[in-house]
Amino acid sequence: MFKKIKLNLFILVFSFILIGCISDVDENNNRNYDLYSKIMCPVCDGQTIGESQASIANDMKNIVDVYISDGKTDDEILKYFEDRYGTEILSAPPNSGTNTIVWATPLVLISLSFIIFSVWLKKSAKGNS
Amino acid sequence: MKLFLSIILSFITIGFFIILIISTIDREGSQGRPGLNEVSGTAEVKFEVFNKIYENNIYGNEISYDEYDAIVLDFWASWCPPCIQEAETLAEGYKDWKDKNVKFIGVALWDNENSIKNFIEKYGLQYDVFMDNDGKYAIEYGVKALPEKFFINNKGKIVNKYIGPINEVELKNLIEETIKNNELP
Amino acid sequence: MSISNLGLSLLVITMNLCIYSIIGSIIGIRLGNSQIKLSAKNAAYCTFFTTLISSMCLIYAFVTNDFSIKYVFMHSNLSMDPAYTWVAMYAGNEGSLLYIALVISLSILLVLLFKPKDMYESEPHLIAIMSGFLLFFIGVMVFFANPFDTFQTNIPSDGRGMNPLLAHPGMFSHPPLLMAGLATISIPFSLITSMILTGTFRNNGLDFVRTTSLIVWSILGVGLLLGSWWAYTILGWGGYWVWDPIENVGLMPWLVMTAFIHSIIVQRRRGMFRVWNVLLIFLAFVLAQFGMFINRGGPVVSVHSFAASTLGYIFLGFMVFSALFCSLIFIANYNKIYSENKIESVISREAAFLINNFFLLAITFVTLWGLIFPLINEVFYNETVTVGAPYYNAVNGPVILLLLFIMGIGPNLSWKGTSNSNLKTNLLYPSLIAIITFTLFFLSSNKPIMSSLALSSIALVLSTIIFEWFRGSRSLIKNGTHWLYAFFKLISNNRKKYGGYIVHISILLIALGVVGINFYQVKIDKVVSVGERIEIGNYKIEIAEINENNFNDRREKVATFLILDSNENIVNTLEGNNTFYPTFNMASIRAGILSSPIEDLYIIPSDFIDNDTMKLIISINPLVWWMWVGGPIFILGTLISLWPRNFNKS
Repeated sequence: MFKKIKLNLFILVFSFILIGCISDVDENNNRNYDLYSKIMCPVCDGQTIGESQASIANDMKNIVDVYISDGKTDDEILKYFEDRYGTEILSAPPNSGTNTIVWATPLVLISLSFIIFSVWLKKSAKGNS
Repeated sequence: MKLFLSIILSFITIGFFIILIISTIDREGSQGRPGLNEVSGTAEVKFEVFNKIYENNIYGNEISYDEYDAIVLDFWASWCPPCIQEAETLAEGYKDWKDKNVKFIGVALWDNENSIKNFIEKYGLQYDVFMDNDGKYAIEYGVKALPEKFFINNKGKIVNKYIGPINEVELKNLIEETIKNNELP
Repeated sequence: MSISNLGLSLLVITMNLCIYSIIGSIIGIRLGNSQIKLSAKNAAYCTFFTTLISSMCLIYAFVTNDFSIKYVFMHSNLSMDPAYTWVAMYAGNEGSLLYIALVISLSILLVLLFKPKDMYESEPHLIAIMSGFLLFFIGVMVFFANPFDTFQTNIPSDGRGMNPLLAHPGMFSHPPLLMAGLATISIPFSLITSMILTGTFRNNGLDFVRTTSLIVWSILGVGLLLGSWWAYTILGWGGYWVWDPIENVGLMPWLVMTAFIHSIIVQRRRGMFRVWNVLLIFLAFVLAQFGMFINRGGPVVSVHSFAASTLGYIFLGFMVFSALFCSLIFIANYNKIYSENKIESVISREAAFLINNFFLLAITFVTLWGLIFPLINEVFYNETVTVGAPYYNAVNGPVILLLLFIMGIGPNLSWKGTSNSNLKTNLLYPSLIAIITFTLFFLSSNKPIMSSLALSSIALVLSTIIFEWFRGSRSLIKNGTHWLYAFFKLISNNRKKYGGYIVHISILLIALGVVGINFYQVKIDKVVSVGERIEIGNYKIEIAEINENNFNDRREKVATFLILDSNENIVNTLEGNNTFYPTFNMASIRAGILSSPIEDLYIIPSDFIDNDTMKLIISINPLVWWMWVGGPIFILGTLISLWPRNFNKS
């Protein structure tokens, strides 16, 4: 019985992690605003074009709108800006090339340390009982 | 185990500080921040092919794209102080280079016709200037700050990009470098 | 003597007092001479008064518009609202250093006054460390960033003005609280360090450490929340939290402090985790210095660069120094700190606290990693990247969700291990409610699964707390007590525990707001003219008028909106403004907000096209109201758990 509960808890926690990682957090009902939040304003410090009111940010928003009504995909639109301004125009680095590191490191390190941590926890608990 | 962990941790910490120190030094050296008008120097553009701009200049005349040895494409605005600072350099530069087959094009951003015309008259700019009020061309070129100049060779390749007000010597060097690039395959 | 000379002289005196109290304490410890110790203590007391008068000099200079002082010239002008002159002191780098110095000297005073008497052994060490910390800030001001620097000739008649983004009611609360929170992490840090150094860490003083850390932690927390609220009322800052580097460096120490105040409970109850607690407080302190560095000349781009300076090296140096100091103390005294860490059961309160610590540190790590990754990339690959909100939402989001989940499980576990039947009765209803919530939201809406998971976790935590309360007060009610009285009785009998639960509830409310705005927001933008009507959700909005006001330093455009009900009656009037500051070439936009517990109507006049046409961004942000309600509840919970046990007796 005791083991069962433990197992259940573990599965529950684990499925939480999995589902959380798989699901797309940034899904928004409005595609335009979603894209605005993925493009940085090139003349502002640390603001996306959605947040900025600089002329260039407004113009970039218009371009996004036009391309959306032209039927371009999100990736195509982001690529357009990336080609012109470099990767730094994207508010989060793409999961490719050397930038994979930024995404993979937390995932690997957190799961690795969680395993070490839970092994230690179990060992410590066993040693006592 | 404990020793192993502490060695790894101390390496990470030391690495962390080294990264911080290097980037702090880096930052002091080059003012690479967009938006600051003191930004100067050259930077590579990823989008490196010259896209011709088919629009009429501020006086309604068509811009010609005959064969030039070099094109200097300048994004500026009449309201931008560093642009005012370099206006005379550009006016003089144009006079020096127009006989040597170098074309100057000015693109005025988020501006109005009257202030552009006043500006042109005040500083004696003689080259083609046109307006880009919806930032279409500026974004096409990945413009980050005003003024920003592109040096384009006769094969339509962007050789250099210069952010911030330019002086005579740099202008001369960059144009010469562009022309030199024409011979390269 | 001019006010600037007075201010600077007082800073120099403070510096000497600090040096005196450090050296005095050390000599006093060496010689065991209580006279010298006392004299050093008195010097430490004095620093507060000299710093206070020095700060008053600067405030006086601001209020009287003394533009001969460069700092006043840079951060004030005649057309500024006079109310802001009282607080413009911390609008820039130099003055905010003075403010921080004031906070530190005040905290020295308060700690020395309220410290329990049985902590006398560690007192000289404490004074030396805190004075050393104060000395750093005073030294930076005296040698590198003098707030009292004056113009020798050509005294300007008007100033340049405060950064326009700071002209907001939030200026009175958010910056001082946040800076105070970051600076006063030094209190629990110095307390613990001095206790370690004197070998008194084992027995006494833990309660005082807990009290001070709770105060510091709540000041920092409220500061962060007020910052969110400020950002929410100003467009351009994209809502309440954008994971900007400077927001992140404020959040990280708070997260580590959150871990600390949880695991210090375990040390108090069970004498465990001693090493871990020391590491946490050291980490929090170093991260606070990291924040100071990033804020004042760090190599990152941020929207909050108000205190940016060229002093990056000095703050980086101090951060490296504090990290070295902490490591040395830790290594040299490891044997004194070490305690047996044996957990009896994986399903126990202790284990839950550890897991909570794990996730809090995981969030801290992700945040730090995202902050420095662009620097690493720049150094190794010479490529500039931005790590912004989408990254943090995707990576930190699931971890925060797990943390919420642990918040629901942890309080159901008992110390040393929980029996199955206990766990079953405790968790049965909450988990049922959580599952029902999840199913309901998952089936009824097309939102991402994250939103349903978050809502069900919130339901789990909330119902856990409510059932716990119910169970606790049931015996009282059975004895004939009124349920309301029983409710308060329960809280007052176990303030620490129930205060903690109230803080948990406030965190849930904040989470509720985050879920609402992230997953259920509706947003449109539209170009409209005066007289036009827009309908969004249940609202009818009429654009009433656009007014323009011109000031010396700014052009203000105010749009007035009427909110109508179905019978065309005006129910509310909202105002949004868009103010342009030519000197700064900067616009500051204030949103018109109609707030209710269900949803906020949020109107931003983002751009004025001509005299009666403008571009509006209108959104409906559900449940955000709860996020701001979370603030007062957070403070209430902290106060309850801080309220002294023997208050009635004394």
